[in-house]
Amino acid sequence: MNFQTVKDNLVTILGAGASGRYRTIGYQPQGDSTELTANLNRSVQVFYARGSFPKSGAGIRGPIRHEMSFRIELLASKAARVDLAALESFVSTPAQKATALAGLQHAASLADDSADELMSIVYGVLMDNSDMDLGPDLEVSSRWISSYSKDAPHPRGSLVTVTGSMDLTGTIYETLSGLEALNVDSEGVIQPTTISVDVVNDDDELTLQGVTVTNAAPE
Amino acid sequence: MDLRAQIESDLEDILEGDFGLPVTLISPAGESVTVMGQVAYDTRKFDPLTGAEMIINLPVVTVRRSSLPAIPADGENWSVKIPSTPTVTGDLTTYVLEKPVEHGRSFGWITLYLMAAEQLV
Repeated sequence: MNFQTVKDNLVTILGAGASGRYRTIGYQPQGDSTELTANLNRSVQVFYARGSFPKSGAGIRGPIRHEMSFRIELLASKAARVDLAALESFVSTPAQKATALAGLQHAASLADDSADELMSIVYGVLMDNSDMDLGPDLEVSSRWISSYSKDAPHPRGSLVTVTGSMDLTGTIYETLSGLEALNVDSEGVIQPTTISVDVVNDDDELTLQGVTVTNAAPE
Repeated sequence: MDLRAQIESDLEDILEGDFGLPVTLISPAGESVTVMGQVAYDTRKFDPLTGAEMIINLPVVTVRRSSLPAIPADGENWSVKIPSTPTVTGDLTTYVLEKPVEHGRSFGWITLYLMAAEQLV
């Protein structure tokens, strides 16, 4: 269905807009410079969360309206910041080490700030006017980030992480592809299916007698 | 030997014996002290978001209380240096204390949960 293409497009848009500021899970970058990958302790992942299909007269036989909702998961992690050079130097005096420890920046507040910055970046990338249709091959209407929620800083190992979740909604029309019968042999290999129709020509009147589906025998 | 002395002797063997690693603590006043202690580099933990059990990188240091001139108190900024790998002569990695010390007021030993640190810019 088309929402799967929309999800792929969202991953591509997020990956292309990252510029080294975060990592998009599922995106294959072409290569980043060292300067651009300085903040890779932040990641973004896209999930299709839910969809609704309002019943309408046009949708009975035509394309079906699909109101999609995607969940964009954000994750930021940070270590504490301190003047390590002063603490690790063999020539530092106790006073210099004390000054270094007094200037310690706690990981929880750094992770919280990093998550807020990540939210700001991702919101800007997804709501940019150039990607209003969410991709060149589809037309998504009513694209909108409807809500965002953030969790409290959580120590995870020697780092502190903050997670956030953004709801992105949009509308697309789905076209049903119909039944797809697969002819799978005993080894699980899909074989070609032959369909033949018996037609009787009786006094210039064509009569459909029956439909025979013949599965090709595996070689 | 009374019971307390026996416990101290046992802790010396357990924490500072052949399996001990050098642990350097720097107090908020900048004073350094190096003692021998036990270092565990990985810890099992349950992820509260998913409920899944994870093995995470969380160095945990256990040292004998009586070997330290001062015990880290909650809210104080301490630095702890431990070997990057479980070898006595290996490179050292500097961590900071952000979590409360376990058994800080108990007789015997204290447990320190270390947090990673990066250079302040």
